[in-house]
Amino acid sequence: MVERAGVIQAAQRARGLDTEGSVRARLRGIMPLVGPVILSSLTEVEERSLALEVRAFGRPGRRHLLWRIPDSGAQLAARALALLALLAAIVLRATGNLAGLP
Amino acid sequence: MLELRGATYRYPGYAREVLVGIDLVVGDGEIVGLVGPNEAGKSTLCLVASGLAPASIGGKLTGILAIDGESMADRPTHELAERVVVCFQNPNTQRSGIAATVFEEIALGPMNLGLPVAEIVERTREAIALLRLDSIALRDPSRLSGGQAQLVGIASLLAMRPGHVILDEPTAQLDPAGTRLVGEALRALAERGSSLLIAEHKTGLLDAVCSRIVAIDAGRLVLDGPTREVFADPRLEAIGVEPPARQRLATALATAGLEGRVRLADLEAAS
Repeated sequence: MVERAGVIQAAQRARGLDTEGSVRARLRGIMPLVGPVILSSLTEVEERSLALEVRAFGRPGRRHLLWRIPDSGAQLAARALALLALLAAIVLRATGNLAGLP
Repeated sequence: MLELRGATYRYPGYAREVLVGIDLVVGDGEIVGLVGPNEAGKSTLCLVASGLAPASIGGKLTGILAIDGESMADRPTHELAERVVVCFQNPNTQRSGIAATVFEEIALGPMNLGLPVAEIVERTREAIALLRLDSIALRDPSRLSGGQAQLVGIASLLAMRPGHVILDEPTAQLDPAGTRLVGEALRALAERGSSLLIAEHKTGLLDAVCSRIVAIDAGRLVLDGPTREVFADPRLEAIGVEPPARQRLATALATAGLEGRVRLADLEAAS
């Protein structure tokens, strides 16, 4: 979207739209960009989703990744502990034992 | 074999049919070119022949889409993807947006198919070699030129090793060298037995790779025959399709009374 906004801004400037100068001038310049940026993004959504579907993106079942991100036992344990701590906090809050805490 | 029988299609929310009574068969190993003026229904035919219309975008299809003799009615899109792929003309919409490198972008389809890693890598390397993308394999896919992005999009589909390939103006963003590369890759795919349907305004590419051409106008097939015959048919220009340079030259020679005195085969050999 950032790329598209840049292209649309360049196109509008080529037609004489002033997007530089004072804050007021810049704000005025943004309005003609908003419509084309949003509308062109929406019109591309369908084709983008079709292109992904063609590459079996919605296929159920197991995928194979090219490489696995290293995940040590310590990292696994830390995540499990964090999850347990979260669950404990929720239970304590629900039972009123953490009512005094911020 | 990819087969459409009496296919009539209407987009959701529209009262008028965009395609009417299309009968089209693309045999295994055959490359068929699809030509027609703007708004003739070429892109819609690509969507219908791939099963994406109506499976993904809705609308009403009457008639039959069959792939390898099996009806594709009511099949989910991921099942269709394992049999037929479609390449769109805008390279930006074909980029997944989740791959860090061109290599990973091309590997995405085989990864989704759940193939073993060794096969994913092999398929990806083969697609990269076929379209000579080695020099950009480790580049960020979002930082490519339009032509490079389109070649990556086509390579991503080749890595799926599809039985049937549909391409909607695949070379719209490509220079002549890129267009030739795509032509070579498509021929290689057909030699392996894939059936290909290519909608294209560049009739020169179709002249070079297709054994058959079908022409569509206002949603109906109006011509269907061997490439040279269809490109020589005056009805083609009448519907607004420009024949390839080879045919225009042949017509000009005939008009000037030089037919037979200058052999096209000699000109082709010289070029």
